[in-house]
Amino acid sequence: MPLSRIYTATSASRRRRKALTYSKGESVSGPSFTYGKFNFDYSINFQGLKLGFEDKNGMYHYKRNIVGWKHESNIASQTGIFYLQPIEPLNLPDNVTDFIEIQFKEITIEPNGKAVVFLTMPIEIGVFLEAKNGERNLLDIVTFCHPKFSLYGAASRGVITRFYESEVYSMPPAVDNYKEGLLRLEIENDTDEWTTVGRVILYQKGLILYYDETTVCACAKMIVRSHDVADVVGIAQPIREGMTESIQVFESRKTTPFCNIEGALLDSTFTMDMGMR
Amino acid sequence: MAEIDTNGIFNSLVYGQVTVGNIILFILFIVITFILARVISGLIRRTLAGKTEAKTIDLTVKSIRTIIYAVGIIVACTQLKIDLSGLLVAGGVVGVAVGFASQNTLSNLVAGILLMFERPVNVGDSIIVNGTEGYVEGIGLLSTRVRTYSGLYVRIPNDSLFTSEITNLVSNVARRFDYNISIRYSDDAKKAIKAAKRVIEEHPYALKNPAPSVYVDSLGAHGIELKVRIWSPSGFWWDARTELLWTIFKALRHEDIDVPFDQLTVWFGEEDAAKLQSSLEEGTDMTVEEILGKSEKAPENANTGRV
Repeated sequence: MPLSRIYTATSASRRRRKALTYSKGESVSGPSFTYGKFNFDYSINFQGLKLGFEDKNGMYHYKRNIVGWKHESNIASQTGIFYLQPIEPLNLPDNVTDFIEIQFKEITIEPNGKAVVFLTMPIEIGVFLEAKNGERNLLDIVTFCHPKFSLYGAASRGVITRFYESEVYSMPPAVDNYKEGLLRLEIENDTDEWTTVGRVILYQKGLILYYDETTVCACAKMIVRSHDVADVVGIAQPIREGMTESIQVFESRKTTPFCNIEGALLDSTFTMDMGMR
Repeated sequence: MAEIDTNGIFNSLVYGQVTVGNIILFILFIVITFILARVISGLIRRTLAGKTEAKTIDLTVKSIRTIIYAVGIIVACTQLKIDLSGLLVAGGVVGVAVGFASQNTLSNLVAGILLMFERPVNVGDSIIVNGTEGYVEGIGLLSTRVRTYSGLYVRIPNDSLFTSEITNLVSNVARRFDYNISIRYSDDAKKAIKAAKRVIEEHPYALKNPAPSVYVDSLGAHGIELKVRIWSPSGFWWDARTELLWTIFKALRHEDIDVPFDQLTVWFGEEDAAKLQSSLEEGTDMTVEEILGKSEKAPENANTGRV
């Protein structure tokens, strides 16, 4: 996959975010991407992304172009239905890792205290096909985000992470729903000492995305066990009612050597045992 | 009630010295042998699953099962008063002969088993062993197959692999690669470092943490030597390495920073230097030492004779 294409797709300038409430009524300035279920006659021309299906002698031809990064495919389908869904940002430019790392300005939490913050995270857009029997197939993935990776822990026993920097918000900020999603993070300090948290690492399996007309979101909980150990678990819950659960593209990737973090990964929980700052 | 004399039944002779009890014990030993072989096979299969190829697991299981059967049958045969001493002596002699003959094979077999447990390499890993570089295609009981980067098949006996120094390029999740980049003395090293860091930051596979480092490593004979150190995911470091050097070079060129050509200053003695001085004065305000550098005004080791 051409990396340079992905870089250029991310060149759009960042807007200043303004805080909004949890309620759906508050509008967001700027265009919103429409996720959902569509027929093949639906096409997209949005912020440099062109995507659509053409009927060519009984066979559909899928075409996508995002700032010069193209993908084409022939499809034999009777249903003619496809989905556009926000998916976890772990597929482009390649299946490098299963972990997302979000770094933010440090938060100091009192002993046995709790904090609920909102962070932004990158998202990718998945194009899924649906068959008559309901079987779905991932056709294509695009992104408006610049991919960047990092290492959590030491090279010998750490994990590669999809890296992202975020501001800390006490209320959900307005974001471009085609580029970023919101992560509602509940941090629980389970110790009798003050603790400082500056990053969170989420395992792919625990990241369940939800969307509506304006927002893409996920929820997670971080339980601080000691001054440098915390458990992070994804929560299957949207930030407000009426949001739709996105299709999860979970697949075990061989590139992530789970043996290096033996004991640290329990189903969808990731134990950050190499620091939280 | 009449008592059944079980001892009598067990001790009653069937043929020769063999009693009913011996026959029952013989059957019992055979049954236990089969059960034991089955259980141990299952355990081995479960232990080795995912650690080595299915073919190797089958071979190991079959070999161990055969050994268990052999031992079980020999032990059971003692109940039937079959004298196996002759067979054992003959087997021992054959065993010693086979042992000598297959010394290397056995050492490879043992090394293969040890490799399965220690696991310094896995199928798909990129390794360097005894000068052979490539991907591990398969780990067998006797040998390990490696496909070199140029597509050649190399079979490395396990004994050799086990006793050699193995470099596993992808065992750790991340690795570092370096570049040495020269720039001219007239270029601003600070500007060059900034330009290089900018393009490295843009590359997805140049890890954010550990952060890349770019610094002046040495003042070379022909230019300033910059060292660039970048960490990358082990499985993708080659992609980053091949893409980034050219990208850094283009970024430096964009900033009017260039790679120096090799230079050699030749001195023609003071007389010629004076001539050079006068000729330069006509066209430039710079002095010879300004052009050539102060350290070269009176070179102690310079050849003052005519060249």
